[in-house]
Amino acid sequence: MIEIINLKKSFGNQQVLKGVNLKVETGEVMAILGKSGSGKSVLLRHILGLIKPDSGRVLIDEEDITQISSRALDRVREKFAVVFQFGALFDSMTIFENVAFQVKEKKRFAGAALEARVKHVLDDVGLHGVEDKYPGEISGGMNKRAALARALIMEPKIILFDEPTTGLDPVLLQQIHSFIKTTHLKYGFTGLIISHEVPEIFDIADKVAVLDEGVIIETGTPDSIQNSVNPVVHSFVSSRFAKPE
Amino acid sequence: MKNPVRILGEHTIETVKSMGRIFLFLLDALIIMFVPPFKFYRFLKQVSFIGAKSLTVIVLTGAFAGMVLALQLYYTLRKFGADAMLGPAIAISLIRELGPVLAALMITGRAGSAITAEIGIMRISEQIDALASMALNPFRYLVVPKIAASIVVFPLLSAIFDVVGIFGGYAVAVKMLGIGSGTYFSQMEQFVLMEDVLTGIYKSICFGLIVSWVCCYKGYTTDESGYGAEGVSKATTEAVVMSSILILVSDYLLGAFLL
Repeated sequence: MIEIINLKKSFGNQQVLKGVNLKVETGEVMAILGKSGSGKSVLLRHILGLIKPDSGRVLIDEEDITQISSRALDRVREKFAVVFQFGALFDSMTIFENVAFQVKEKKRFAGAALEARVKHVLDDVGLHGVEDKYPGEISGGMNKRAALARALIMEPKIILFDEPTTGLDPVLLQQIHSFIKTTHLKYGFTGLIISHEVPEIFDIADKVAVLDEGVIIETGTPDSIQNSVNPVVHSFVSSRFAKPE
Repeated sequence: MKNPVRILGEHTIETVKSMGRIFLFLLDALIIMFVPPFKFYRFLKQVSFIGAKSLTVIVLTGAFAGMVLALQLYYTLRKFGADAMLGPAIAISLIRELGPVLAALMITGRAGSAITAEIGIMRISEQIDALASMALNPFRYLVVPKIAASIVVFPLLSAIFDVVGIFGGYAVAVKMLGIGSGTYFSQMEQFVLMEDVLTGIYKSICFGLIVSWVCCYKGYTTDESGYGAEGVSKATTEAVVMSSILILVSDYLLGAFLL
């Protein structure tokens, strides 16, 4: 479970998070919606422990990661996997090496077992025949799927998705969402998806939170968010529904 | 308008803070260097990249540095009737001073800039965050192997620079200027002391530490230099300029201390 309590963060004179409160239950997929610059990515980096907040708490399975040592933080991070906005695959490694990297470093599998495991997760995200290619040699959509495979290989309890469909065309967007949905059903992870893909995100999220000007202004099911009476949420959702093709 | 004293105070505090961050960066790297698991393969890869792949540059610059030294020193020494001292003069200049400094400057240009650019690109493309999110310490994978490899490789490359330089000087002194081959080497054996060799080695080790530290730090904090490709280019330039200045400053300080 992820719980964020009154999280505040400023960079210089600019206050990005002004008291975020959020709870993601174990096993559910929550989407955080918000305009560009609303603080979504900063919030994600706090959950990963990459940034220290000015005040507030980030609880991962009831452990406050803002107050723990870096060694303890690494132990908490073992529960996580992240799919970064642009994949963040290691560009000097092949897709196979990228997916296998973490497993190899942590000595979970080796040799034929490792190879079988990598092939298995690549199959789960529909990637075939790209094991020996470098991230620069495959398409953006394939990179995102490889990033998802890299996240899945350790079978983490929590996967954080930082705008996983940014820059993709509608067909690829649907494809990535479908892989997130099917892998969630298969692996049962808790998912937190930072996105502004409305209405597509409503198909894969159990709950949706809307972040605006550094605070969560509404949390609810996709249906309740779509029918929200909050003018900011309503305006955000309806403007996205009306976006040009 | 801001009070000038306040501006000076803010600037001083920021400078002290940034120096603190640079030293903490080195401290973290040195601590992790001695804590297992050790990434021996990554260390060897860096030895190959910083060391073996810099050989051509080192041999070329070493040869020409020795040749120029021979020419310049010959005309000076001849005025004092001391042209037989050409061999030792070249050897001492190279071993104590020019070898470590020029080799370090050359490696900074070739490998130091590449180190900053590599780590900088990993920073802006979130690859470093990806490593951290996997509970793998980015220092252990990216910084420590480069610093350890530089400490090992700089003295070796400097030694190669010295040897090639001495033979470059030999080519000019003996083949062009008519100094006897025996005179060139026998005088050298007499005047070059173990202390001179050790001075060169100590300097090279310090330069290796300084260059790899500055270049790794600049790459790691690329996002402080600017955004995107421009940030990487700025960080790389700053790393090379800062490393080169620090090589020359520390050369003087070490020279004064070790003389």
